[in-house]
Amino acid sequence: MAGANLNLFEFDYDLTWAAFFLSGDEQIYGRFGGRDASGADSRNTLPGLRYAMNAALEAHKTVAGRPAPNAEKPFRVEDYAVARRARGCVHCHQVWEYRRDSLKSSGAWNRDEIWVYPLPENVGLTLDKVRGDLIKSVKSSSPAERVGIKPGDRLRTLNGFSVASFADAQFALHKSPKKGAISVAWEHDGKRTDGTLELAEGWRKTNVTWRTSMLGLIPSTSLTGDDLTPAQKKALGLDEKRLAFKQEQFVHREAKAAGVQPGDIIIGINDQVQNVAMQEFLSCVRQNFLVGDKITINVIRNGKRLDLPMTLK
Amino acid sequence: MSRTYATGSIVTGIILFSHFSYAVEPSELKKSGWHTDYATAKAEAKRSGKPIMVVFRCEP
Repeated sequence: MAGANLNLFEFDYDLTWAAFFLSGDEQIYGRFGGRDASGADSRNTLPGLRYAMNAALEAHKTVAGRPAPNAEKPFRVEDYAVARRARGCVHCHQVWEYRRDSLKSSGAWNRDEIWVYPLPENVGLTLDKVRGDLIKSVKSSSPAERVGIKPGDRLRTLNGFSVASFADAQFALHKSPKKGAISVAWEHDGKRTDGTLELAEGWRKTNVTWRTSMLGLIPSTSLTGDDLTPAQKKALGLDEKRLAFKQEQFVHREAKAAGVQPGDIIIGINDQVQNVAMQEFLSCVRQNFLVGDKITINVIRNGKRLDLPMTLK
Repeated sequence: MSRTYATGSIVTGIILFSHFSYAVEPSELKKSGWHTDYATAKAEAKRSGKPIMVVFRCEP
């Protein structure tokens, strides 16, 4: 990333592949490349790239020759103080890490900074993998459904940004507030409609466990064992769907420090009843908490209920 | 994804790597018409009037 102007080439730096389409005067027409937690190419297709390129060419025909928008002063990864101390190449994901360090140093960091590049699904939109502006489905009771967007509609702009790809939509959402309203324009049967997406607190929250830049932030619960059978749960007076697993003989030192013992029945954290299996529970903890968060592990030991405080590491 | 995805004569292509272990050697890229230097690609885009496709590839 050394030398790249981050104010121009602003993208999700945890990606392993990202593309921009722009003019020689640095007017950006579009973006391509994105993913979710299921895999690096989960949202990328060759026909989708072709579609985004064609959209960029159309934009180039329309706006070529116009002056580029007032460019911000270039900012390069080397401008982060911590980067100056680094040796060797700078990986893309390190841009996020340097940015986080910089924000923490200045006291400007908060947990909301974690939710970068929200998925279109967060506002209720699933986009087609080929025609990146085609709305494949709309989630019930989502901001998109409430504004009247239907499957088969074409997304035109989101938060003021043109959309021809998943990456365009993600960028527009990345630039959106953590709470409030953003503009949206779409076409239904060729007729354009403008509206507003109302975004509630927490809408940006997305599964970040795949992100290399956040490996140091995502906790391990240090708990593991076998799920109880429905009969075993019934014997303990628990609903058969409720989380309940028996801590295995080996107890990780962090769990041991919290007081967890072999054979403890783990039934949740923070008094929340969860109807999931152990693996899903552990995944849930990784998605919803950060290193340093304090939790209480709810345990049954010898038939008695215990609460064990623990700081996630 | 590889460079062959952007073979259109309609764009000036550039691939920027953030890591030394190139999946495709820069010399190979140049043979295919790709640039690995942004300033060169930008100058060519201005001269030709074509848009640029910039690819960032990072292998953690």
